[in-house]
Amino acid sequence: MVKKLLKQDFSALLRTLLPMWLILLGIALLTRFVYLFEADNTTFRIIGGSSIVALVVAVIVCLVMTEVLCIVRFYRNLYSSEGYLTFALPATHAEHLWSKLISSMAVTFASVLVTLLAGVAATSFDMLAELLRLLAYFWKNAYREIGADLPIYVAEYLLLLITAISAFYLLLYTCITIGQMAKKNRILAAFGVYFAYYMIMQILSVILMILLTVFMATDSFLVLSEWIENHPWSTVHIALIASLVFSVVWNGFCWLLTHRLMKKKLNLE
Amino acid sequence: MSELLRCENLTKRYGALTALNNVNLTLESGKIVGLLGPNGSGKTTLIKLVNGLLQPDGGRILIDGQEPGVESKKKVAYLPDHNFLNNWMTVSQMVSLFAEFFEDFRKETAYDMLEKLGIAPNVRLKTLSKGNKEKVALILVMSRKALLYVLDEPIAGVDPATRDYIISTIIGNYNPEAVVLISTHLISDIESVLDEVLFLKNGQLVMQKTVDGIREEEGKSVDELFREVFRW
Repeated sequence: MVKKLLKQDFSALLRTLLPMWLILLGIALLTRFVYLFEADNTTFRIIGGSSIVALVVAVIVCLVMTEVLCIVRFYRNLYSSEGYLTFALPATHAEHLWSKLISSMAVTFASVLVTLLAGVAATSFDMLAELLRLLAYFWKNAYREIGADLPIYVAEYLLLLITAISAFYLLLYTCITIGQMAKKNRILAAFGVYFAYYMIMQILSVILMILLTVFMATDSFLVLSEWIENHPWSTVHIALIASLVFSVVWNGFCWLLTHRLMKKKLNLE
Repeated sequence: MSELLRCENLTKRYGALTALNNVNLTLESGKIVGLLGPNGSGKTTLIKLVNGLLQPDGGRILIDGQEPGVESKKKVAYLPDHNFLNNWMTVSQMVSLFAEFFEDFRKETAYDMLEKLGIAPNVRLKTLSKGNKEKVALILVMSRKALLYVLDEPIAGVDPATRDYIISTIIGNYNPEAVVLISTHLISDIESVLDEVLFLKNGQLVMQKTVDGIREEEGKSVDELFREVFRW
């Protein structure tokens, strides 16, 4: 069933994203074309400058719009009048949630990929070559420092990146799902929930900073600092694993809360 | 005749308001049933509970022996009182969506009905008038060979000609082994097709009778009885 739901979600998202990606790639190729005729005169500077500005704007619009479209799709398909059909389909609430999350993450990665492609197209592979050179340089040096464990570190970092993106969407899904429970102004309520979350996080950060300052004045901190100095890569490893565990737990919390509210407190328009 | 819908002590509250209070009812196959009651009597709440859009606070619902869920949704064809169509889609895309998700969907029946109405399959839903959108929605729902059709206010807000079309579509296309549950205020328009009626008042089922029984025992039409029961 998730496969069928994904088909619907992708077709709804791609009908806007595909033209947007094509426009971005078109602007990138145009920029490259303009720079084929590079000249030291005012006309070129204006045209060349404009094409670069257009490319930068297109990149920003592409990345931001991808997220906006994913969020709008989630709200409209589940909690607006479309929800009457969505929830009448023979699918579980979990399947609906997975479909939205997987499609959102997939188009986000695709948008980043298209943005990189646009960069490559605009610079005629110069940027790609430079990027690959940099990556090779980083890998060589990091391997010398870390040794055979390097792929594990990279895998942990990539996993963290993936869970961070899913946490971003799941947090917004949770806010929207809480917001839809309001009798009216449901979108405003969703913003209100997000603002409340942001405020709580700010307060928790301040408390954490205070605790850290207190901890820094203890002997234990000196012992810890010494250990970190002697085991820098182990510290990175522990930090990555801890962040990953925290991110997975946070993802799970948001997923379960959204799922439960969707199931028990659905409040369609 | 087999029992297709059973509600046992069904209760639903919205905060302090009790929308449904200990409702007990059973519906058997092969009937067109009118779910009647004034605004706020709990009709839409009952329908949402049947479709799993709300969770009961007490009691339970069984659809062909199963509680609302994935399996029951395969057997229930639901027409909500809202426009549920994805407006950015074309009519044929919507037909494909129904065909993909509902195994009992009869694609040819849907296209036949659309053709009779003169609605082109490649038209975008957002370009259709409100009345035509309602017709498309009804066609999609009635093209299923479901066990339970739940139609929430299918004839409200449409002109008399469209009303006739909707009623004839319901009669002409429902699965004869199924139950058709129609919620409406417009009793006189639909009375002639009903086999049975349910009267809901302040969240309670105050009457469940056959239309013939009402005529014979009360000597009244359903419309007349409704006006009597719900007189202010």
